[in-house]
Amino acid sequence: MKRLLKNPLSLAGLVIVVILLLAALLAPVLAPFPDHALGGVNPVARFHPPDGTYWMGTDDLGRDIFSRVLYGARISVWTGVLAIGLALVLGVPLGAVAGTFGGAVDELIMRITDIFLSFPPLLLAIAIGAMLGPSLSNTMIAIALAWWPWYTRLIRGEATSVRERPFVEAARAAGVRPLVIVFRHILPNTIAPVIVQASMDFGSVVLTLASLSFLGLGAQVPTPEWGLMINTGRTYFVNAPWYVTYPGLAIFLTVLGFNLLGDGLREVLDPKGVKRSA
Amino acid sequence: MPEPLLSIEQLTVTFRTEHGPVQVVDIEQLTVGRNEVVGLVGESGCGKSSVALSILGLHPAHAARVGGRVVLEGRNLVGLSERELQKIRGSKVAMIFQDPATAFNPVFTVGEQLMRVIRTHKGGTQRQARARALELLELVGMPDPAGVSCRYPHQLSGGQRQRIMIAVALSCGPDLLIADEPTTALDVTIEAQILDLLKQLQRQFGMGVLLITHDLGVVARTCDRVAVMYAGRVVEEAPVADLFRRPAHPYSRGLLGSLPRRGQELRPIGGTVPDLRHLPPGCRFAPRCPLAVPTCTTHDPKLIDFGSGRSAACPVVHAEEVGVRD
Repeated sequence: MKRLLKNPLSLAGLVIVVILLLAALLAPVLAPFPDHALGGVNPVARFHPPDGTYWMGTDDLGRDIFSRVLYGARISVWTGVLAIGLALVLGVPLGAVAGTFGGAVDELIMRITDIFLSFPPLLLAIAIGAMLGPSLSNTMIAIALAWWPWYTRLIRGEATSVRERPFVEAARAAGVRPLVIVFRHILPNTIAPVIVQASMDFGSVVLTLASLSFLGLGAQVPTPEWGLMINTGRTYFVNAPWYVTYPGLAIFLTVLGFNLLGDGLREVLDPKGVKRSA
Repeated sequence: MPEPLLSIEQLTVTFRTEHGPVQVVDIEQLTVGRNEVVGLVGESGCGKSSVALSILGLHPAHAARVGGRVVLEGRNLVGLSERELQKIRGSKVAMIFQDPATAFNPVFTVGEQLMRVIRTHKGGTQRQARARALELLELVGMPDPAGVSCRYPHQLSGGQRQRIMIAVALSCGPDLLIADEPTTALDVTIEAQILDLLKQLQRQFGMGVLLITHDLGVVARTCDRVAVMYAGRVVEEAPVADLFRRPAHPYSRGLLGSLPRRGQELRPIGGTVPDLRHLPPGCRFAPRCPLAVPTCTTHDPKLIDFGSGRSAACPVVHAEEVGVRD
């Protein structure tokens, strides 16, 4: 932890992520106009530029963009956590099993991941989103389905090296059952790079979610989702540039924050990175 | 003669390689009795560890083929299902590994790992397993068992780890203990302690022990009987004192002759170990053997029983020479 905080970039990442999490958590308290994020409209103040009352201005329905961006943080964090969580739940055990047992099981699982990996993740998410119908939860599922093969590959690679370590053989010689070996002995020793990867992916997932919503496949109006806000706001870009700017900035900062944090975590968790982070 | 605890008969282990199958073990006969320590000696790559793995059925099925019989208490272990082998591993047959630093899972404390083995085979509650774990740590001479059980492997010294590995091996009261180079990774003073501990526990529990080593000093200190392996074969078997007094097989003589002695130059065995892919016809040791006669390169010798527990796979040596009367 100390090493993480020593690096100014990781520290910046951590600060951004903490602010994002706080914004998500405290949105109902912090937002000056919580009802603007929850479906209320305010026609008297349409396209109000940013000032003391409306910090980030208002949109075409007079809603406070600051309040909506705060609530948008909730959606992004929540969707990101669930999508990555689902991808991990799918991908990690499969990768551990493939890497540990090898042979036909490995071959089968890896070919399935190949199929998923042969599509660009965003395209795959679009296809799945289009198939399941546009909604936030379907987008989440789509993102998870596009992401799990990366974790499977990552864990499999680690597992193939860990399974050759003597303590795994020792466990087998002690009569430990194969699945117990996978989950007790292989998994805990392969998880570090996945933690790094997942924290880095969080930014990409937020971005993907915003992209899908922007394309109309994710969140639907009046959800205060950042990508969706940009999509609505781009029509008024010339007259109300703040409309797209602030949600865009939120996306940008979120992705940046998680990437910086992920880089920092990698240096801390990777023994070879010790010198670089000092 | 009573039925031995473990009896290895016509055991062959063949690895599949890019260059076709390579037979790394070919043993006619090897037994371990109850309450007996048998040393399996040979140089690196002679197939010692492969024998250990084939007893437990730990060779990966896609990489190695095991033939012959490994009979434990009257039951052939070769060809048993994975599920049945799991019941035997750890409970009836336990194994101690060469490097105690890597044989523990680094992310759990040694106490957790010890308790898990106990619960895998004996069931019982967490509390019972804990009590048994502390008992075992005490048995292997760890001071402060409760404190030690909360440590992670990297917080312990090599000797301590090896003691705990012995505790893990003993946790389910095995009949047979396989120790694969148990002291190679330790320094000499710790080695002596660990060997004495093994010997003491072996007597206390009446276990059979198969001690795999390349170190004749370890054999002399610990074993009752010894089998010498060369290029996948057992070439000589003898009670330990007899082997050191009057080795029969030329290879054993060479091994003993090459031990370092004060004031003498080392006398290594000439030549090199044959490539297992291209074994010489006839006796595998013949190309390096000082006593070889022409028939050695054409006839593959079988183990000849000299009586008194001595046998050697060499037609050139005679019973009188090894001090056994017919």
